[in-house]
Amino acid sequence: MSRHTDDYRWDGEVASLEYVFARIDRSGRYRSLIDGVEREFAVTTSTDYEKVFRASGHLKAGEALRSAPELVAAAQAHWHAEGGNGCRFAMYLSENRRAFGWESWVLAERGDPVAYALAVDERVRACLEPAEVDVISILLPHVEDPGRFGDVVRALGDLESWNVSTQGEETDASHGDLQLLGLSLAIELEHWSEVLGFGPAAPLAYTRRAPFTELAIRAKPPKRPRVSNHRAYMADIEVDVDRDTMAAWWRETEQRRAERLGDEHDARGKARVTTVVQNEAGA
Amino acid sequence: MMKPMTSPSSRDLAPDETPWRRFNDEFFSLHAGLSVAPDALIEGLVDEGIELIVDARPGRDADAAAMKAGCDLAGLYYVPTTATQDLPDVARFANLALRHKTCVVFDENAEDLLIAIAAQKSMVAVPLFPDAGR
Repeated sequence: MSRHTDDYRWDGEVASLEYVFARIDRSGRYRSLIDGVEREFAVTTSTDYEKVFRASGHLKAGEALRSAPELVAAAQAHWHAEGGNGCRFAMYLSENRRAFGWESWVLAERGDPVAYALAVDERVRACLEPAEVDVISILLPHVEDPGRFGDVVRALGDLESWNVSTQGEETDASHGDLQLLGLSLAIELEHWSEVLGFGPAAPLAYTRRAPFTELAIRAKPPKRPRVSNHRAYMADIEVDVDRDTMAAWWRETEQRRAERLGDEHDARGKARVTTVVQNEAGA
Repeated sequence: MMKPMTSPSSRDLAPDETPWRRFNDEFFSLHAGLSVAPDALIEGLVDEGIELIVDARPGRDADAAAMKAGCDLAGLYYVPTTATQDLPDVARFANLALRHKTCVVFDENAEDLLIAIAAQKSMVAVPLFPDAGR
Protein backbone atom coordinates (compact mmCIF):
# COMPACT_ATOMS: atom_id res chain seq x y z
CA MET A 1 0.00 0.00 0.00
CA SER A 2 1.39 3.40 -0.92
CA ARG A 3 1.68 6.22 1.57
CA HIS A 4 -0.88 8.18 -0.38
CA THR A 5 -3.61 5.62 0.25
CA ASP A 6 -2.90 5.75 3.95
CA ASP A 7 -4.49 9.18 4.15
CA TYR A 8 -7.63 8.95 6.24
CA ARG A 9 -10.92 10.82 5.94
CA TRP A 10 -12.65 11.17 9.29
CA ASP A 11 -16.41 11.26 9.13
CA GLY A 12 -17.13 11.06 12.84
CA GLU A 13 -18.56 13.33 15.49
CA VAL A 14 -17.07 14.31 18.83
CA ALA A 15 -20.17 13.15 20.69
CA SER A 16 -19.53 9.51 19.87
CA LEU A 17 -16.45 9.57 22.13
CA GLU A 18 -17.75 11.99 24.76
CA TYR A 19 -17.63 9.30 27.45
CA VAL A 20 -13.91 8.91 26.77
CA PHE A 21 -13.17 12.64 26.66
CA ALA A 22 -15.03 13.15 29.96
CA ARG A 23 -12.12 11.40 31.72
CA ILE A 24 -9.45 13.78 30.47
CA ASP A 25 -7.17 15.35 33.04
CA ARG A 26 -5.64 18.38 31.34
CA SER A 27 -1.91 18.54 31.86
CA GLY A 28 -0.98 21.45 29.59
CA ARG A 29 -0.61 24.92 31.05
CA TYR A 30 0.05 28.37 29.71
CA ARG A 31 -0.07 31.82 31.24
CA SER A 32 -1.21 34.91 29.42
CA LEU A 33 -0.51 38.44 30.56
CA ILE A 34 -2.87 41.40 30.10
CA ASP A 35 -1.80 44.76 31.48
CA GLY A 36 0.42 42.99 33.98
CA VAL A 37 -2.32 40.62 35.18
CA GLU A 38 -1.48 36.95 34.71
CA ARG A 39 -4.04 34.24 33.94
CA GLU A 40 -3.41 30.53 33.75
CA PHE A 41 -5.20 28.17 31.38
CA ALA A 42 -5.26 24.39 31.41
CA VAL A 43 -5.19 22.76 27.98
CA THR A 44 -5.55 19.24 26.69
CA THR A 45 -2.41 17.83 25.12
CA SER A 46 -1.91 14.85 22.82
CA THR A 47 -0.50 12.98 25.82
CA ASP A 48 -3.76 13.55 27.71
CA TYR A 49 -5.76 12.19 24.79
CA GLU A 50 -3.42 9.25 24.45
CA LYS A 51 -3.98 8.35 28.11
CA VAL A 52 -7.77 8.26 27.90
CA PHE A 53 -7.78 6.42 24.58
CA ARG A 54 -5.47 3.81 26.06
CA ALA A 55 -7.50 3.52 29.26
CA SER A 56 -10.70 3.03 27.28
CA GLY A 57 -9.16 0.40 25.04
CA HIS A 58 -9.31 2.47 21.85
CA LEU A 59 -5.54 2.51 21.65
CA LYS A 60 -3.68 -0.75 21.91
CA ALA A 61 -0.56 -1.22 24.00
CA GLY A 62 2.48 -0.01 22.12
CA GLU A 63 0.39 1.85 19.54
CA ALA A 64 1.15 5.54 19.21
CA LEU A 65 -1.79 7.93 19.01
CA ARG A 66 -0.40 9.67 15.94
CA SER A 67 -0.54 6.34 14.13
CA ALA A 68 -4.28 6.00 14.74
CA PRO A 69 -5.78 8.55 12.31
CA GLU A 70 -9.39 8.18 13.45
CA LEU A 71 -8.37 8.99 17.03
CA VAL A 72 -6.11 11.84 15.93
CA ALA A 73 -9.04 13.44 14.10
CA ALA A 74 -11.44 12.84 16.98
CA ALA A 75 -9.02 14.31 19.53
CA GLN A 76 -8.39 17.41 17.46
CA ALA A 77 -12.13 17.88 16.87
CA HIS A 78 -12.72 17.58 20.62
CA TRP A 79 -10.01 20.17 21.30
CA HIS A 80 -11.83 22.65 19.06
CA ALA A 81 -15.20 21.72 20.57
CA GLU A 82 -14.01 22.25 24.14
CA GLY A 83 -12.89 25.77 23.29
CA GLY A 84 -9.15 25.34 22.87
CA ASN A 85 -8.92 27.90 20.08
CA GLY A 86 -10.99 30.47 21.98
CA CYS A 87 -13.76 30.81 19.39
CA ARG A 88 -17.31 30.07 20.56
CA PHE A 89 -18.48 29.53 17.00
CA ALA A 90 -15.72 27.01 16.34
CA MET A 91 -16.86 25.09 19.42
CA TYR A 92 -20.36 24.80 18.01
CA LEU A 93 -19.20 23.94 14.51
CA SER A 94 -16.84 21.26 15.78
CA GLU A 95 -19.62 19.72 17.87
CA ASN A 96 -21.75 19.49 14.71
CA ARG A 97 -19.26 18.78 11.97
CA ARG A 98 -21.49 16.93 9.56
CA ALA A 99 -24.24 19.53 9.78
CA PHE A 100 -21.87 22.33 8.87
CA GLY A 101 -19.64 20.55 6.36
CA TRP A 102 -16.39 20.40 8.29
CA GLU A 103 -14.33 17.74 6.56
CA SER A 104 -11.16 16.27 8.10
CA TRP A 105 -8.29 14.44 6.48
CA VAL A 106 -5.42 12.91 8.40
CA LEU A 107 -2.34 12.65 6.22
CA ALA A 108 0.13 9.82 6.45
CA GLU A 109 3.83 10.51 6.91
CA ARG A 110 5.37 12.07 3.81
CA GLY A 111 8.76 13.03 5.18
CA ASP A 112 9.62 15.82 2.82
CA PRO A 113 7.85 19.21 3.17
CA VAL A 114 7.34 19.41 -0.59
CA ALA A 115 5.71 15.97 -0.63
CA TYR A 116 3.44 17.10 2.23
CA ALA A 117 2.56 20.26 0.34
CA LEU A 118 1.64 18.34 -2.79
CA ALA A 119 -0.54 15.98 -0.75
CA VAL A 120 -2.29 18.85 1.02
CA ASP A 121 -2.86 20.62 -2.29
CA GLU A 122 -4.42 17.53 -3.84
CA ARG A 123 -6.77 16.90 -0.93
CA VAL A 124 -7.82 20.52 -0.56
CA ARG A 125 -8.50 21.13 -4.25
CA ALA A 126 -10.86 18.17 -4.34
CA CYS A 127 -12.94 19.78 -1.58
CA LEU A 128 -13.29 23.28 -2.98
CA GLU A 129 -16.13 22.89 -5.46
CA PRO A 130 -18.62 20.54 -3.75
CA ALA A 131 -21.23 22.75 -2.08
CA GLU A 132 -21.33 20.51 0.98
CA VAL A 133 -17.80 21.29 2.19
CA ASP A 134 -17.46 24.49 4.22
CA VAL A 135 -14.25 23.81 6.11
CA ILE A 136 -11.36 21.49 5.28
CA SER A 137 -9.02 20.36 8.03
CA ILE A 138 -5.80 18.71 7.03
CA LEU A 139 -4.15 17.06 10.01
CA LEU A 140 -0.44 16.30 9.95
CA PRO A 141 0.19 14.18 13.06
CA HIS A 142 3.72 13.32 11.95
CA VAL A 143 4.69 16.99 11.76
CA GLU A 144 5.28 18.06 15.35
CA ASP A 145 8.07 20.60 15.10
CA PRO A 146 6.95 24.20 14.37
CA GLY A 147 9.96 24.69 12.11
CA ARG A 148 8.99 21.71 10.00
CA PHE A 149 5.39 22.95 9.88
CA GLY A 150 6.75 26.26 8.64
CA ASP A 151 8.62 24.40 5.89
CA VAL A 152 5.37 22.75 4.78
CA VAL A 153 3.62 26.13 4.77
CA ARG A 154 6.41 27.67 2.70
CA ALA A 155 6.32 24.72 0.28
CA LEU A 156 2.58 25.22 -0.15
CA GLY A 157 3.24 28.87 -0.89
CA ASP A 158 5.36 27.82 -3.85
CA LEU A 159 2.44 25.96 -5.46
CA GLU A 160 -0.05 27.43 -7.88
CA SER A 161 -3.13 28.95 -6.21
CA TRP A 162 -1.40 29.27 -2.83
CA ASN A 163 0.35 32.31 -1.44
CA VAL A 164 2.56 32.71 1.60
CA SER A 165 3.49 36.09 3.00
CA THR A 166 5.08 37.59 6.07
CA GLN A 167 2.43 39.03 8.35
CA GLY A 168 4.82 40.54 10.86
CA GLU A 169 7.90 39.94 12.96
CA GLU A 170 8.29 39.70 16.71
CA THR A 171 10.95 39.01 19.24
CA ASP A 172 10.18 36.44 21.89
CA ALA A 173 12.29 36.08 25.05
CA SER A 174 12.27 32.29 24.69
CA HIS A 175 12.51 31.90 20.92
CA GLY A 176 14.29 34.98 19.64
CA ASP A 177 13.31 36.60 16.37
CA LEU A 178 10.05 35.27 14.98
CA GLN A 179 8.35 35.51 11.63
CA LEU A 180 4.56 35.41 11.35
CA LEU A 181 3.60 33.51 8.18
CA GLY A 182 0.25 33.92 6.47
CA LEU A 183 -0.86 31.25 4.02
CA SER A 184 -3.82 31.81 1.74
CA LEU A 185 -5.50 29.80 -0.98
CA ALA A 186 -7.35 30.93 -4.09
CA ILE A 187 -10.92 29.66 -3.92
CA GLU A 188 -14.09 30.11 -5.97
CA LEU A 189 -15.23 33.57 -7.11
CA GLU A 190 -11.80 35.21 -6.95
CA HIS A 191 -11.52 35.10 -3.17
CA TRP A 192 -8.54 34.09 -1.07
CA SER A 193 -9.08 31.91 1.96
CA GLU A 194 -6.93 32.62 4.99
CA VAL A 195 -5.56 29.36 6.34
CA LEU A 196 -5.46 28.81 10.10
CA GLY A 197 -2.59 26.76 11.43
CA PHE A 198 -2.53 24.79 14.66
CA GLY A 199 0.19 22.77 16.31
CA PRO A 200 1.45 21.38 19.58
CA ALA A 201 4.35 23.67 20.38
CA ALA A 202 5.68 27.18 20.86
CA PRO A 203 6.09 29.67 19.31
CA LEU A 204 2.54 29.27 17.98
CA ALA A 205 -0.07 31.51 19.59
CA TYR A 206 -1.74 30.06 22.69
CA THR A 207 -5.05 29.74 20.82
CA ARG A 208 -3.29 27.65 18.16
CA ARG A 209 -1.63 25.18 20.58
CA ALA A 210 -3.57 22.10 19.59
CA PRO A 211 -2.72 18.44 20.16
CA PHE A 212 -1.76 18.00 16.49
CA THR A 213 -0.57 20.07 13.58
CA GLU A 214 -3.47 21.16 11.42
CA LEU A 215 -4.29 23.41 8.49
CA ALA A 216 -7.91 24.58 8.71
CA ILE A 217 -9.24 26.13 5.53
CA ARG A 218 -12.46 27.96 4.79
CA ALA A 219 -13.44 26.35 1.51
CA LYS A 220 -16.02 28.85 0.31
CA PRO A 221 -16.24 32.58 -0.40
CA PRO A 222 -18.58 34.81 1.64
CA LYS A 223 -22.25 35.17 0.69
CA ARG A 224 -21.50 38.48 -0.98
CA PRO A 225 -18.21 39.51 -2.55
CA ARG A 226 -15.68 41.22 -0.35
CA VAL A 227 -14.65 43.54 -3.18
CA SER A 228 -12.08 45.57 -1.24
CA ASN A 229 -9.79 42.69 -0.27
CA HIS A 230 -11.30 39.37 -1.50
CA ARG A 231 -10.66 37.74 1.87
CA ALA A 232 -12.52 34.60 2.93
CA TYR A 233 -12.40 33.29 6.47
CA MET A 234 -14.12 31.18 9.09
CA ALA A 235 -16.20 34.03 10.47
CA ASP A 236 -18.28 33.93 7.27
CA ILE A 237 -19.80 30.57 8.12
CA GLU A 238 -23.51 30.85 8.81
CA VAL A 239 -24.89 29.11 11.87
CA ASP A 240 -28.45 28.32 12.90
CA VAL A 241 -28.66 30.47 16.02
CA ASP A 242 -30.82 33.50 16.75
CA ARG A 243 -29.52 37.06 16.76
CA ASP A 244 -29.18 37.29 20.56
CA THR A 245 -27.18 34.10 20.73
CA MET A 246 -25.02 35.27 17.86
CA ALA A 247 -24.25 38.54 19.64
CA ALA A 248 -23.51 36.72 22.89
CA TRP A 249 -21.16 34.33 21.13
CA TRP A 250 -19.27 37.20 19.50
CA ARG A 251 -18.77 38.84 22.88
CA GLU A 252 -17.71 35.54 24.39
CA THR A 253 -15.25 34.93 21.55
CA GLU A 254 -13.68 38.35 21.88
CA GLN A 255 -13.29 37.89 25.62
CA ARG A 256 -11.89 34.37 25.37
CA ARG A 257 -9.48 35.39 22.65
CA ALA A 258 -8.20 38.41 24.57
CA GLU A 259 -7.77 36.46 27.80
CA ARG A 260 -6.03 33.52 26.22
CA LEU A 261 -3.72 35.41 23.91
CA GLY A 262 -2.87 38.20 26.32
CA ASP A 263 -0.75 41.10 25.14
CA GLU A 264 2.15 38.94 24.04
CA HIS A 265 0.32 36.67 21.58
CA ASP A 266 -2.30 39.03 20.20
CA ALA A 267 -0.60 39.59 16.83
CA ARG A 268 0.34 35.97 16.21
CA GLY A 269 -3.22 34.83 16.99
CA LYS A 270 -4.84 36.89 14.23
CA ALA A 271 -6.75 35.19 11.44
CA ARG A 272 -4.24 36.34 8.82
CA VAL A 273 -1.47 34.42 10.57
CA THR A 274 -1.13 30.72 9.79
CA THR A 275 1.92 29.91 11.85
CA VAL A 276 4.95 31.38 13.57
CA VAL A 277 8.53 30.36 12.86
CA GLN A 278 11.89 31.31 14.18
CA ASN A 279 13.92 33.45 11.82
CA GLU A 280 16.79 31.42 10.43
CA ALA A 281 19.36 33.69 12.01
CA GLY A 282 17.74 33.24 15.40
CA ALA A 283 16.85 29.57 15.04
CA MET B 1 -39.46 48.10 -12.10
CA MET B 2 -41.75 45.22 -13.00
CA LYS B 3 -43.74 43.36 -10.41
CA PRO B 4 -41.59 40.69 -8.80
CA MET B 5 -42.57 37.05 -8.95
CA THR B 6 -40.21 35.67 -6.38
CA SER B 7 -41.39 32.51 -4.73
CA PRO B 8 -43.33 33.00 -1.50
CA SER B 9 -41.11 30.51 0.28
CA SER B 10 -38.29 33.02 0.53
CA ARG B 11 -40.16 36.28 0.19
CA ASP B 12 -42.74 37.98 2.39
CA LEU B 13 -40.74 36.95 5.43
CA ALA B 14 -38.71 39.28 7.57
CA PRO B 15 -35.07 38.16 7.88
CA ASP B 16 -35.70 36.91 11.41
CA GLU B 17 -38.61 34.78 10.23
CA THR B 18 -36.79 33.03 7.44
CA PRO B 19 -36.12 29.45 8.47
CA TRP B 20 -32.40 28.67 8.52
CA ARG B 21 -31.31 26.47 5.68
CA ARG B 22 -27.76 25.63 4.81
CA PHE B 23 -28.57 25.24 1.11
CA ASN B 24 -31.06 26.79 -1.26
CA ASP B 25 -33.62 24.57 -2.93
CA GLU B 26 -34.35 27.09 -5.66
CA PHE B 27 -32.66 29.65 -7.83
CA PHE B 28 -34.07 32.46 -9.87
CA SER B 29 -34.12 33.10 -13.58
CA LEU B 30 -34.56 36.25 -15.54
CA HIS B 31 -35.27 36.37 -19.25
CA ALA B 32 -33.54 39.52 -20.48
CA GLY B 33 -32.19 40.61 -23.81
CA LEU B 34 -29.01 42.55 -24.25
CA SER B 35 -31.07 45.69 -24.75
CA VAL B 36 -31.72 45.86 -21.01
CA ALA B 37 -29.26 48.32 -19.47
CA PRO B 38 -26.89 46.68 -16.97
CA ASP B 39 -27.64 49.27 -14.28
CA ALA B 40 -31.40 48.68 -14.49
CA LEU B 41 -30.95 44.92 -14.53
CA ILE B 42 -28.65 44.92 -11.51
CA GLU B 43 -30.84 47.34 -9.57
CA GLY B 44 -33.83 45.06 -9.97
CA LEU B 45 -31.86 42.04 -8.82
CA VAL B 46 -30.46 43.90 -5.84
CA ASP B 47 -34.03 44.72 -4.81
CA GLU B 48 -34.76 41.00 -4.88
CA GLY B 49 -31.84 40.24 -2.58
CA ILE B 50 -29.90 38.39 -5.25
CA GLU B 51 -26.29 37.61 -4.28
CA LEU B 52 -24.92 36.11 -7.48
CA ILE B 53 -25.70 36.52 -11.18
CA VAL B 54 -24.93 33.85 -13.74
CA ASP B 55 -25.07 35.69 -17.04
CA ALA B 56 -25.94 33.17 -19.73
CA ARG B 57 -26.60 35.45 -22.66
CA PRO B 58 -24.50 34.51 -25.67
CA GLY B 59 -23.02 37.57 -27.32
CA ARG B 60 -23.11 39.63 -24.17
CA ASP B 61 -19.31 40.12 -24.21
CA ALA B 62 -19.61 43.85 -24.89
CA ASP B 63 -21.72 44.23 -21.77
CA ALA B 64 -19.73 41.92 -19.51
CA ALA B 65 -17.37 44.62 -18.28
CA ALA B 66 -20.27 46.93 -17.46
CA MET B 67 -22.13 44.10 -15.73
CA LYS B 68 -19.04 43.19 -13.69
CA ALA B 69 -18.42 46.79 -12.66
CA GLY B 70 -22.07 47.26 -11.74
CA CYS B 71 -22.13 44.04 -9.72
CA ASP B 72 -18.93 44.99 -7.87
CA LEU B 73 -20.50 48.29 -6.96
CA ALA B 74 -23.75 46.67 -5.86
CA GLY B 75 -22.09 43.88 -3.89
CA LEU B 76 -23.11 41.01 -6.17
CA TYR B 77 -21.04 38.24 -7.66
CA TYR B 78 -20.98 38.23 -11.46
CA VAL B 79 -20.32 34.94 -13.25
CA PRO B 80 -20.38 35.31 -17.03
CA THR B 81 -20.79 32.26 -19.17
CA THR B 82 -21.70 31.15 -22.61
CA ALA B 83 -24.71 28.90 -23.07
CA THR B 84 -22.60 25.82 -22.74
CA GLN B 85 -23.91 22.66 -21.17
CA ASP B 86 -20.51 21.22 -20.49
CA LEU B 87 -20.98 19.23 -17.32
CA PRO B 88 -18.26 20.91 -15.24
CA ASP B 89 -19.79 24.33 -15.85
CA VAL B 90 -23.32 23.21 -15.09
CA ALA B 91 -22.14 21.52 -11.90
CA ARG B 92 -20.28 24.68 -10.89
CA PHE B 93 -23.32 26.87 -11.43
CA ALA B 94 -25.53 24.45 -9.52
CA ASN B 95 -23.09 24.37 -6.61
CA LEU B 96 -23.01 28.16 -6.54
CA ALA B 97 -26.81 28.32 -6.65
CA LEU B 98 -27.05 26.00 -3.66
CA ARG B 99 -25.02 28.42 -1.55
CA HIS B 100 -25.80 31.89 -2.93
CA LYS B 101 -29.14 33.43 -3.77
CA THR B 102 -28.61 33.16 -7.50
CA CYS B 103 -30.27 34.53 -10.60
CA VAL B 104 -29.49 33.10 -14.01
CA VAL B 105 -29.96 35.79 -16.63
CA PHE B 106 -30.70 34.17 -19.99
CA ASP B 107 -32.16 34.67 -23.44
CA GLU B 108 -33.76 32.36 -25.96
CA ASN B 109 -30.44 30.69 -26.70
CA ALA B 110 -29.77 29.62 -23.15
CA GLU B 111 -33.05 28.22 -21.86
CA ASP B 112 -31.67 24.68 -21.76
CA LEU B 113 -29.07 25.81 -19.26
CA LEU B 114 -31.76 26.56 -16.68
CA ILE B 115 -33.09 23.03 -16.97
CA ALA B 116 -29.61 21.55 -16.70
CA ILE B 117 -28.70 23.57 -13.59
CA ALA B 118 -31.99 22.70 -11.89
CA ALA B 119 -31.62 19.02 -12.74
CA GLN B 120 -28.05 18.90 -11.45
CA LYS B 121 -29.09 19.43 -7.81
CA SER B 122 -32.87 18.90 -7.90
CA MET B 123 -33.51 22.62 -7.61
CA VAL B 124 -36.44 24.69 -8.79
CA ALA B 125 -35.92 27.60 -11.19
CA VAL B 126 -38.20 30.47 -10.19
CA PRO B 127 -38.80 33.14 -12.89
CA LEU B 128 -38.37 36.82 -11.99
CA PHE B 129 -40.03 39.69 -13.88
CA PRO B 130 -41.37 37.49 -16.68
CA ASP B 131 -42.04 40.40 -19.04
CA ALA B 132 -38.67 42.11 -18.77
CA GLY B 133 -36.61 42.46 -21.91
CA ARG B 134 -39.03 40.61 -24.19
